[in-house]
Amino acid sequence: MRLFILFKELLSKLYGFLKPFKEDRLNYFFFMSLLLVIIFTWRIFDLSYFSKEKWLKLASSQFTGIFKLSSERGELLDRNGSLLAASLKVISFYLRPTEIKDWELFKEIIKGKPSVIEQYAQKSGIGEKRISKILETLKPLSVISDEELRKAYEKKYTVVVTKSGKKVKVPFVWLKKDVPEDPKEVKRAVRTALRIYYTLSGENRFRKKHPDLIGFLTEYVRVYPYQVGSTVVGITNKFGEGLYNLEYLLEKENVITGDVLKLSGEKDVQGKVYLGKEATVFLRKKKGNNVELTIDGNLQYIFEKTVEKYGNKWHPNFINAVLMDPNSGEILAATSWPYYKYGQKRTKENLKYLIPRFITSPYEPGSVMKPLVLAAALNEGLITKDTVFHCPPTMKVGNKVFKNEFHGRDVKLRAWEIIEYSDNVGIIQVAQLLGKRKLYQYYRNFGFGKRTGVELPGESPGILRNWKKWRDVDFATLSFGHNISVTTLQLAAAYSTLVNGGIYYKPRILKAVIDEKGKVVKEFQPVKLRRVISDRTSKVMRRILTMVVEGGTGVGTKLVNFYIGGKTGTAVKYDPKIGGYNRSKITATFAGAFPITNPRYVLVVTVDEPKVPKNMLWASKIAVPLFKELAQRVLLYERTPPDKREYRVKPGGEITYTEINRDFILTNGLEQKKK
Amino acid sequence: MGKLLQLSCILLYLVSTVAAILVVSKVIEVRSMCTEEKKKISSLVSEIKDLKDENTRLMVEYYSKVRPELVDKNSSNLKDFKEDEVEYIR
Repeated sequence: MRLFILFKELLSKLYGFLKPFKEDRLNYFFFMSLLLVIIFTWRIFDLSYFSKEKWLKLASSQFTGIFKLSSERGELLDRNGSLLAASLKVISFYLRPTEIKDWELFKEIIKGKPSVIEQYAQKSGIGEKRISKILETLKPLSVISDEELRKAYEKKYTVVVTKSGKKVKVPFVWLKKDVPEDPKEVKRAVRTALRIYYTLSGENRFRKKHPDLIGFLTEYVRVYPYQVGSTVVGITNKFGEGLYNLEYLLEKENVITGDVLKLSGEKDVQGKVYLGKEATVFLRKKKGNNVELTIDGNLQYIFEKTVEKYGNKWHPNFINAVLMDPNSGEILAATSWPYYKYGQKRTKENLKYLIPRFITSPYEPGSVMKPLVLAAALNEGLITKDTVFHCPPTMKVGNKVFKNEFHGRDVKLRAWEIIEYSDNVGIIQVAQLLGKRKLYQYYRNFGFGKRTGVELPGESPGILRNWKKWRDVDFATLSFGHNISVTTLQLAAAYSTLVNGGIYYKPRILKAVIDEKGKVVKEFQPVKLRRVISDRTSKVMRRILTMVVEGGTGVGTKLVNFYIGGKTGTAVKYDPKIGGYNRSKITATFAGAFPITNPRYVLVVTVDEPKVPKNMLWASKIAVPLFKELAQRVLLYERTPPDKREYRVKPGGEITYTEINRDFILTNGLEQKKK
Repeated sequence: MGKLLQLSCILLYLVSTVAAILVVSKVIEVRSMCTEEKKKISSLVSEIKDLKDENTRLMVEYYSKVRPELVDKNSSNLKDFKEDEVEYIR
């Protein structure tokens, strides 16, 4: 209290000292005004200086906004320009059933019943000549079936759940979705139908809350017209976002989706964005780039059809087939059975078949690795193709005994014969000459144990352990393709290197990126990654691989007009249930090239766990016929000139031929002579 | 002299008013021409877009009709030649 009295006295003294006027009322007014000026000045300072950032941010969030627009997806084309995937503008019809009073009349108009149109013509004073024109205008609506109309009408409304969790009934029902009709024609049809309805029913459209009893919205849907290559192309979801394979990867890399346009506009407090007048007039979304693939759509179909035939016959876990151009690394066809067929229902089970197992599922390849070991030894100059190896019936490495392929016979084989007869004892000796470190280096250089870098998501690097961790027995089994896991594509790339002159090309699936106007934005050139073996070694290897087909384990692929070179691989699978290798479970592989005198194609087929009788469990019985059929179809489709025979037409019209490249096959085999 | 000055002042007022009206009308004319041209460009752009959509639609229809599966089905009565049944002439 005392303090208060003291404060009052002080104020009164201060007032007496400061007061400018004699009149107290004037002084009060003056001091009050001064106080207000001080308060306002402080507030101005606060707004424009101390808390400037905060208020500017708040203002900008309220009054300016960013409007994001996604562009239309680009197309995916095969190497011939055939359309593999495209975005199609489609129409989705909707209905407002609760607004329609005379349903029967409405239905008859939509179905384009002539008697109703005549009635309309009479009422509107339209000449009979125009009746047929009206019927023609209504034609786009004929895609809507009676059943669809009935279902939509009976549904009445759509229940929408709001942000607050409240359920709201909206008088809007989808009638028919994704109809590939011309929007202009549909617009005309809908307008005509509504005009006829309002005229005949006598209802006032201006009194209706929703006068658009039937309407449509346009949107883009992804379609796959050629219906091939799902394991490469992939699919998008219903919102047009890439889900699998190239559709996913090219979207992720912003190749196919184009730029997402960001337009600044004004935003009100409710968050609605208003664009300027200019923007609405000139705004056009830039379509994503088109992408040309190295895949040939027709070859892809041949592959899919053929592997499906064998898949249904043998019921394996999967079949992979990859066709590559060894001189550029281009993948011409690649499939994995079972595969997703475009148009199939998108169940969880079906979508699983979109996975490109030729890059995602590594396996123990078996004897297809032997030619790579021999090539390494030849390239190092440790042996020649004619070096003789003594291959006893058994060979002990560590605690494991390996048998030769001659059922207890003691044989001598030339180096190339080891490949022809696929002899384990022989190839172990070749690998031992090479040594662990060198073999590891060559395997790495042939592309094993690392991703090939192909433009598809989910690629597996396979398994190749460091040579320092190899036991002697591991080293021995590695020489014939065990203790190593590879993918079908890795094998195709390695065999390409083996036959193309020794250069490892990066496998590619993209050929070019083309913009909307057809201008090539980017062209993908062959990528020479490294030289693995010399040209000379590669030539020798081509002849050795030919011998496998001409007289060895791959004789089933022998063709009349073409030389084929390749190698079989029958790998017994490890079964965790029995804790060892299960002889009734194999992975059969055939890797080869054709026409082998000047290779244009490398083909690798893998059949995993075929369900066939025990005597069929060999690559020569499983992978070879599949390889042969595919190779034949590829050669015929590409109209490849033969390298075994040369045909001529005699003057009389008779067609004759002469055998060519006969010196390509090797004839100095030690076991060959005995045969 | 004073009257002459007054007269010239009035004249100057009139001339400037007329000039201002002329400039404004010219600006209006140019702006309206711009708007017309903008409208034309806009309709052309939209026509191009429609044509592109139509082109895509036709392309999709074409490739759906010539898709290998359909061609294969329609030619199922034809024989699939084997490599050894073909006489190759270079």
